[in-house]
Amino acid sequence: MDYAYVFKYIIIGDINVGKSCLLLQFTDKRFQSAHDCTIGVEFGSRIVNVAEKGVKLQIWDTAGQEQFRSIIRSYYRGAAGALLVYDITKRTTFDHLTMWINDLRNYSTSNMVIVLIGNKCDLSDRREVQKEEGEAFARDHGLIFIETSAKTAVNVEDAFIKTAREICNKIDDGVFDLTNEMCGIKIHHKLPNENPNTRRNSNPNQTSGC
Amino acid sequence: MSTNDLELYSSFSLLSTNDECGCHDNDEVRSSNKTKINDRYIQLNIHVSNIVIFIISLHKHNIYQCRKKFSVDTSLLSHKFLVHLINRIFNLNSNFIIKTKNNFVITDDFDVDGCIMNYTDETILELKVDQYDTNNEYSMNENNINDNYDLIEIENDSIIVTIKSISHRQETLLKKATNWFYGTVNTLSNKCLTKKEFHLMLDTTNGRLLNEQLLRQRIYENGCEESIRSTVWCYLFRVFNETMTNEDKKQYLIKATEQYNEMKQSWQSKKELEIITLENLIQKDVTRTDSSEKFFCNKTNSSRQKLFNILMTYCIYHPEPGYVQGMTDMVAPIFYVIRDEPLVYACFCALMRYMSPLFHLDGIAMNRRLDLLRKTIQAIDLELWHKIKQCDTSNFMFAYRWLLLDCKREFPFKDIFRVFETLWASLSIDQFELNNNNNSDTDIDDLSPTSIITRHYLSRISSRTNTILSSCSCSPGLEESLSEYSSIDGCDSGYRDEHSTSLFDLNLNYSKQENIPIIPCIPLEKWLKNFSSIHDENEYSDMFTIFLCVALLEQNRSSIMQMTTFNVDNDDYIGSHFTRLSRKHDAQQALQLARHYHRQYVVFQIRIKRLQLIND
Repeated sequence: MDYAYVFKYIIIGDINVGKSCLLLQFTDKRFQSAHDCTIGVEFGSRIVNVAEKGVKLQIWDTAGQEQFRSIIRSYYRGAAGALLVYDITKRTTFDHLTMWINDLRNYSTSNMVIVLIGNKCDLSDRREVQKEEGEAFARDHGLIFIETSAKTAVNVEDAFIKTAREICNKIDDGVFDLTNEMCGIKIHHKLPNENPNTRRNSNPNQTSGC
Repeated sequence: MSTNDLELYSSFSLLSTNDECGCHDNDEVRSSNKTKINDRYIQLNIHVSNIVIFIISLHKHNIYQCRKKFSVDTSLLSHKFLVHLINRIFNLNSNFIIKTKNNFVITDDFDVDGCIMNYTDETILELKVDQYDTNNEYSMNENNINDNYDLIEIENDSIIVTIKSISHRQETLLKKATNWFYGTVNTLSNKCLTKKEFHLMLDTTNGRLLNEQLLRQRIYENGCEESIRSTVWCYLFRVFNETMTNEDKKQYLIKATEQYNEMKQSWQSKKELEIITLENLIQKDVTRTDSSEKFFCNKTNSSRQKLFNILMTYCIYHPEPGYVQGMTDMVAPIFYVIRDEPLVYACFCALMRYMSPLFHLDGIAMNRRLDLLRKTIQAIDLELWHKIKQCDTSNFMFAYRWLLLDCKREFPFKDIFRVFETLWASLSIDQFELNNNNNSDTDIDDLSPTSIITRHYLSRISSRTNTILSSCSCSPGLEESLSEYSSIDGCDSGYRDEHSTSLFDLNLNYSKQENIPIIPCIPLEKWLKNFSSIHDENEYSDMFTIFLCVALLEQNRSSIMQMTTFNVDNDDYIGSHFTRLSRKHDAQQALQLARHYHRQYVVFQIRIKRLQLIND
């Protein structure tokens, strides 16, 4: 599948909120309950269709524990999208969102698209954070909001694609400086052996137009 | 004797005058010309009379198939051996004829000898193997010749054939040389430490370990058998030490268990929020550690509960660094091997004395390791370094887990024991000692043997004797024989007769030694030049892990180098590549390579240190 852009995403949030499971559900369409805890950063990618364009999502899944935070911060920069995840069955993970937002604001590029994800919505009987609270927090901080379940795959696809769509919109609006390497967006160049053909086809048209 | 010689010479002249029969196959001639330059080059560099270098090309129905180059210990050569070797290498079933390049058919030892005589005048001995079809399943069975040689495959289809070492027999020069180049140092002990051997290392009267250094050396080189692993690991971590008799060990176990249970109960009885939070955190990670291993999933054994207890006790008594993710990965293999809860706890504490800086919040030790890895790969393989830099925007972030967990998650669980014991044996024993000797509280908390049992002779006499590659690593006689052939090792002879203490002067605690052993003379490789200065003690203890990481990169070199650089989108390639390869790397190969680099590095550092001392 061909694609026009490469977007870099970063997944952040407290320990045990299901960051790696969201990634695994998105890239491999499966759920693994006993997933090794993430050390440092792990990597995944998938090509999706957004606004009739192919986009390759390059996703950096980070460790949630505080000890790893200082190294992870240095990788906020250079990401176009961030998935900020909390666990709807654990109030503390929601309470820490302000800290995460501040971190993002301090260490990322200013145009980063942030999606707030309330994960584990399949466990609604153990819910500690109401959907409305999440929505309100997202509204206050200018984030996209969605509740997901990495276990049942509910809204997982949506969370990643909504972010991509928002980035695409911002590109169209000219918000991003695509020449800047740190914006987290790259234009996908066709393989060099494809390039001459397309040029040969398009050049005569242009000259005849003049 | 003389008639025999004469006969050989006549056969030799027969071979050399038989020049008219050219080679039929153009392809073969061309390729042989091409490789000849290289072969000459090698030939010129190795003037060793007891090695024969020859090329064997395989032909089927007179059509060239493939060729291999061999460097063979002369004493192996016989007709029977050649047939066996050819069967083995080309996967044949004795359905072939061996010829010289002049189509002289070699049918017996006499012909082989003739070829070797001939060889002294030629740069290389070329043999042709004509394979013919056979329907006969029971063709000549050559397997009765016992498999008395080792094959070492090196680049470009070249193979070194050496005589398998038989214990208590002097190794041949070629064997020794290849050992230095390609792995095992002392092949008299080519296999892992067996139970029998280990018992010979203990004092028969009281069970004391006679030579701790020798044990560490042996483990570094080949690891140990599963049946003795738990005791060996206790020695590696210095939970058992050289001074302890069987009685001491028994006493230690009793007292350590008492002490441990007391410590465990102290947090088990508390129900404060802080402790509950910690419990939840550790419980979650314990259940997902090595979850694919049956041993940890089996509900009837309480291994998970024990793992949990060990970690809880450690974190309660070591608020700095406290619990950090990844610790479960480190304690799981120890638990799998040792099983006894208090003993596992003591070993884990010892391990953490070496590893805890890595888990520290400030990230200093991790950054040092990341830096060292970058530096080292740059020194060893500049081309690969450039490629990685080009393709990886994360600045080696993909190696973070490798460096934090000493590659624990990169190899299959069954292989991690060998990897870890090699690494731990490579470290100086004071890595497992407490930094602050005055702090007797910490001593007791860690179940350190010196604090648990107090016997008048129990002192830490050996804490400064040190790690691998001390004098015993050098098989006797190697030094002499190598120095006779200075061209084989390309070694700077200025170092040859140098005397030095063993590795432990590298810990910057140099003290004068009475009996100075001779350091092994290893041909040093060029990349070491890039390490001009001696590393500090911390960096020094990081190096085996660093070389293990370099080995992982080198194992994947071709996949990394194959990446196209036209696309900007593959800057996650390396990271994703290695994420996929988690627990799938070849441990044996990686270890071999890491040991090779490490050995080189150690000798180099000794020499640098030595030079500095001379200059002072």
